[in-house]
Amino acid sequence: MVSPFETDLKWETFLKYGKRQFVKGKSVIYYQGSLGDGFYYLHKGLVKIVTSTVKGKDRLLNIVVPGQLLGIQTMDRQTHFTTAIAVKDSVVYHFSCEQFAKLMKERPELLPLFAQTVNQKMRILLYAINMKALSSEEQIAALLLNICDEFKNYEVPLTQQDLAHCTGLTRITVYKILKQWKEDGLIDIEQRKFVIKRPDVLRKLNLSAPTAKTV
Amino acid sequence: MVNLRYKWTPFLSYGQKLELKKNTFVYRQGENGRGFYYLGQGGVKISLLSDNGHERVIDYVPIGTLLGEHGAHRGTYLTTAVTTTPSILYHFSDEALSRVCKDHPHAAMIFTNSHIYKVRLLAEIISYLDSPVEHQMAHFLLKLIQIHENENIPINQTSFARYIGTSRITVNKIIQKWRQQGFIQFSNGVIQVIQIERIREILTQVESV
Repeated sequence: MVSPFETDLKWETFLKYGKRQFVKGKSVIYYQGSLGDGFYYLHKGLVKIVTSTVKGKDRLLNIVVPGQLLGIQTMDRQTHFTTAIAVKDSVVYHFSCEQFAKLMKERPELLPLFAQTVNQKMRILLYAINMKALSSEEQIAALLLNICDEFKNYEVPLTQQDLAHCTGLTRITVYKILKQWKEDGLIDIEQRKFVIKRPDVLRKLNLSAPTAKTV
Repeated sequence: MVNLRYKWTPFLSYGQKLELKKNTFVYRQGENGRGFYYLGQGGVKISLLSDNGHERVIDYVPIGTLLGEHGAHRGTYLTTAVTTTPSILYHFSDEALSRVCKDHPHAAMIFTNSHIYKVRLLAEIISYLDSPVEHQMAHFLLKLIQIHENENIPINQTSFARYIGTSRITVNKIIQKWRQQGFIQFSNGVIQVIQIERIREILTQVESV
């Protein structure tokens, strides 16, 4: 699989065309349903991407780490289908549609880079759709490992509530599974984070994680 | 979707025309990309396979739109595309795409918008994942009317079940219910929508619950 970092780092060279903005932790960068103008590059911090379903339930789709883009879907000048919330104080660069369209004409090499980034977003959403075919345990294992791989770290800075939102499972189901895994010594639960102690065992549970495949 | 239709038609001469029989794979999930396609005539269904073998249909490609954008720029096909009837497609390699963009700079934006539309499509599916099956069926049935530009939709119950991500039995129960209520007719794998307004009402009713 192409590491998300490899494609995203290439954006660094284009940052001078963006507008730098500071975002406080817990504040919203853009709202679902609002008309978007352009996209953001996350330079520092952490952002979560949430979507509200037709039924009105919130679902965590993705955690954006520095070096990645967010809000790229509004390059077609339609509304945002997600809400982006800064998890902690963050620095982003904003690129407007117009600016980017102009830039793309000047630098045609941006088109493949942009396409790769869109593919990455597609992969995240396809993954969320596939999640529905997995058992509850597999879903949580897949999610934890996926985040681990993104952060390149075995400490996952999420709450049980976040995991419930992310998978669409109830908080009680999430709690039961995590409790069992803690007893089995697979994970440790600390204040607002999980420590994965046996990723190998979780990985066996988790056959469908996109990172486990060579894409 | 409507505003993406036929936008790529002016560039068809850059592509390679393919005539495919029914049930032919256009591309398969996991294959290395060899570019993207334009559907000129016929029908193509796009599906997603999970590693445990579960298949979910995620789209029926409208005529005059692109498919497999993820296979351009040496990407990887993220889904599988199969023809549902004899079809005419146009294939665009990366070279063809860059020639189109060189000759017509605005084509890059048409391609990008179509690519982004696929992301939106997936987000739409996700937003309906936790809705009641009847609600989902009404939503996707209305969508199929738009795609086919016709109120007679050639889809059997198994395919419909794969589109919603549920069982054929569940789909059958609701189809029978709608038939008894006179909203639809169903025969030989074709759903004929008679009272489109009533199907729309189902959506608003469930939404208000």
